[in-house]
Amino acid sequence: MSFSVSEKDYLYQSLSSKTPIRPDGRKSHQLRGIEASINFLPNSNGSSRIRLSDGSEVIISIKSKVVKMSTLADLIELDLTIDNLRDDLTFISDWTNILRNSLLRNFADKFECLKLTTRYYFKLYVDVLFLSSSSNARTTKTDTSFLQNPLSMISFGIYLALKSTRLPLLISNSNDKDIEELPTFNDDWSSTVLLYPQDEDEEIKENNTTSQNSSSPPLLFVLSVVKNNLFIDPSIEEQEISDCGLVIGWCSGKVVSPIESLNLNQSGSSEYIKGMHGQNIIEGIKMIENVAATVSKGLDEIVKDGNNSVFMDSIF
Amino acid sequence: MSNKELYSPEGLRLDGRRWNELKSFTCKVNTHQTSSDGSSYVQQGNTKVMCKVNGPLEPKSKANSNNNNASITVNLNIASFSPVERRKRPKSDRRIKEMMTILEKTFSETVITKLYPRTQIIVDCYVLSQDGGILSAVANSVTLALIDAGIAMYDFVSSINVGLYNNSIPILDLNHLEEGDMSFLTLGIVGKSEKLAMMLLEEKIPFDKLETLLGIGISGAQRIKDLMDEELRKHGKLLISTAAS
Amino acid sequence: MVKLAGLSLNEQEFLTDSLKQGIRSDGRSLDQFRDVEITLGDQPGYVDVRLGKTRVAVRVSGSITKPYEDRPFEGIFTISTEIGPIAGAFFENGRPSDEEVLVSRLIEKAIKRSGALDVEGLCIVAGDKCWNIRADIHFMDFDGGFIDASCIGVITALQHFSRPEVTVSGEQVVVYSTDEREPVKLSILHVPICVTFALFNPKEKEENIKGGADGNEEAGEFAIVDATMKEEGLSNGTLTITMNKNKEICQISKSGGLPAEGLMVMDCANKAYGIVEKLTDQIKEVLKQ
Repeated sequence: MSFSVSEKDYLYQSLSSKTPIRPDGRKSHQLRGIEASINFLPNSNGSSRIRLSDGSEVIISIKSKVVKMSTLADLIELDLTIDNLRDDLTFISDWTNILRNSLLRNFADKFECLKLTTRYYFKLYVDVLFLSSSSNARTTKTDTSFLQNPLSMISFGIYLALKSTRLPLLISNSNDKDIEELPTFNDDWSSTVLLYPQDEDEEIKENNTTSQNSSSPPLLFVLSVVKNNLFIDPSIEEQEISDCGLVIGWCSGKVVSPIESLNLNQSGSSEYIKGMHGQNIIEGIKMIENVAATVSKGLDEIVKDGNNSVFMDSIF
Repeated sequence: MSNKELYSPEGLRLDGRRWNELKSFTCKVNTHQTSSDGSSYVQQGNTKVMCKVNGPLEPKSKANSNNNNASITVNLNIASFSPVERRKRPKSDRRIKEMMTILEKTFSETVITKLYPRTQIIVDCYVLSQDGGILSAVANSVTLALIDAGIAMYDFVSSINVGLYNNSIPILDLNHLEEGDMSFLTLGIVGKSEKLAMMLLEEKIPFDKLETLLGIGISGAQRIKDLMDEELRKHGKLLISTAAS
Repeated sequence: MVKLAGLSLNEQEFLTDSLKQGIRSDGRSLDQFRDVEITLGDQPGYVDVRLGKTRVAVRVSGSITKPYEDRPFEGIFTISTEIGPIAGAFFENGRPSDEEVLVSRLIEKAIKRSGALDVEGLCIVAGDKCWNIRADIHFMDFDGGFIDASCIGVITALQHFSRPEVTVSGEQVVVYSTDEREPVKLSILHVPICVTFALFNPKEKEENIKGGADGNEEAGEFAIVDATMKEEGLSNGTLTITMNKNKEICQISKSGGLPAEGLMVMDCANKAYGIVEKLTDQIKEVLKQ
């Protein structure tokens, strides 16, 4: 299944014109509204769920495990499941790597919060279940038509889940250099510690554009490039006819890696893929710099609220 | 694992229930309006299952096309984060395949498949959290999702599990710890009757206890059917009132 | 089980009508199990089972290996069930079909999960060495009753098999060949036997689910014991009950199929017990020789 030629032509014309018109009427820098909830999985340390208006949904679970320290990169494991698709498809491992690398790079000194003793650390398993809006269009396990790029939504979900993740409180000795002992924990759930402590300080909130030690998980934003125009959070129609896609990362007030080009068109029709100019990248970065702070503030509100099913309206 | 006994002499289980009390049962229908034809979400205690139904639609492969009846395909996805200990299961896990086949065969009998020849009905189930009674919760969610999709069925399939503690005391609606400690029977009945659509016993029980377990299980499943029915009628009333306004 | 699609319409009608009247094509009554022929091979652990035209061969073999990490005090017992085209043209080599998965899970539950073989007795050195007993089921000919025949085959083969004697002295493990010392029989805790019933509904499907139209509660549905391939192909569902002579039910499996009254299930369980008693005695007789 795919869009008809006239549909694609109409979309391309309206999106590539000097004053572009997006099919759902959003402005170029406007994201779609989401519905989010957290802390609904009783067996996980942290969980979140994000739903878009087109019916696509992402469920994130964070589970911790005590491991003997080997390398820092082993401390985060990310697993992505999409609908009922086979897990050996190439784009799934591509997306897994982008997400995992962005987490690893921006966890830098946060690995300290995973440290228990000199030998033992917490390992985090980030499990992502993405249910697309068009699963009814696909009946086999390898059909990838109409699969929209979920990186942005997943990164928002991971942000919410990590920010609400609680880890057990260590009660055994944290210095086990000489005497090795297995870490023991307080059984009481109310004495658990938030992985990302909440900033109560008003001053810090105001200065959230200046860099601080990474106190927030990274966010990923996907943009679509059509001729000279850029669009944040492209819908499935916009993805289908994009020249190219761009993913830009954001963490704690500034743009961070990854800054990568992406192929947004999963169904394989390659006549629209053209690539982009260097200028597009610079404009994209500027766009994200204007938008991202508001997005992360909105997500923080959701975490603070702690209630289920909060709606975050379309930004701007 | 737990040093508490599963069934105290006063008749209380670990979570405070008595032998014949069901776990807290909540269900919702039409949870995924845009991405499926019918959907449901069932919560039995801490076991949470989400189900989406698509169909009847044209099958992509001829293998799924039957000239006289609809073919039902069940895809079961047990998330690796669903149990207490994270466990990633390969897609070809035999236990999961067995459960999918059981569900397909059960619903092939209760869905009026002869009304939809040469089509395929695809059922996708996602287990988000498990605490015992997975097969029952999935069967219940599939029933609700099929009804929400408007697919003709002869009647509900409501399912529950019932265990035998110490080879003598029957216990209804087991959680994960209880399942690990005693033999249990999972059964699914059709509508309000006493007819068993599916039955699964995987460990030893004395022969003379079978009748008691069946009786208790059937009445437990009938109570689940009432709960599902209540929710569906509530949902129906809501639909009518919003459509009228 | 495997549905035989190639049955002509008049043959289907003929067989269903005669079943309704209680007549089966091979002259058995509805409750009669086929005669079982058990042949022991020359080598210990090899058993050939014939159930009417169905033929299954089972070979049990043992080797020494490291036990599983989470079960250091137990040995390993695996049952391999791969049905190939030799049993019938509609079986395929390679990936097992959904039906085959059910068959192998059933046999595993009946024998392995019910603890027929004492796995703790297979341990040699805890956490280090244990016996790995393997039962390979070869399906030679299919005429219905694979589960029943395989179960009889495996449990007989396990009792027929004997493993070499082993002595442990400190770190050293000595395995004696069969010439040096008498091999040791495996420790079998109970003898489970599977009985499969095929369910039939001669009336309309709706009547079965909603009950009789005129309140005349003539159930109409009936179950036959040990269906042949054609009878299985015509059936509306199957019910497999595994029991042992100690009046314990090891497993019950009714994976969908025709909804059946609880009373019918109890009835089938009673019939199954009679058959289990007979077969257990027969197996004992055969092994005595």
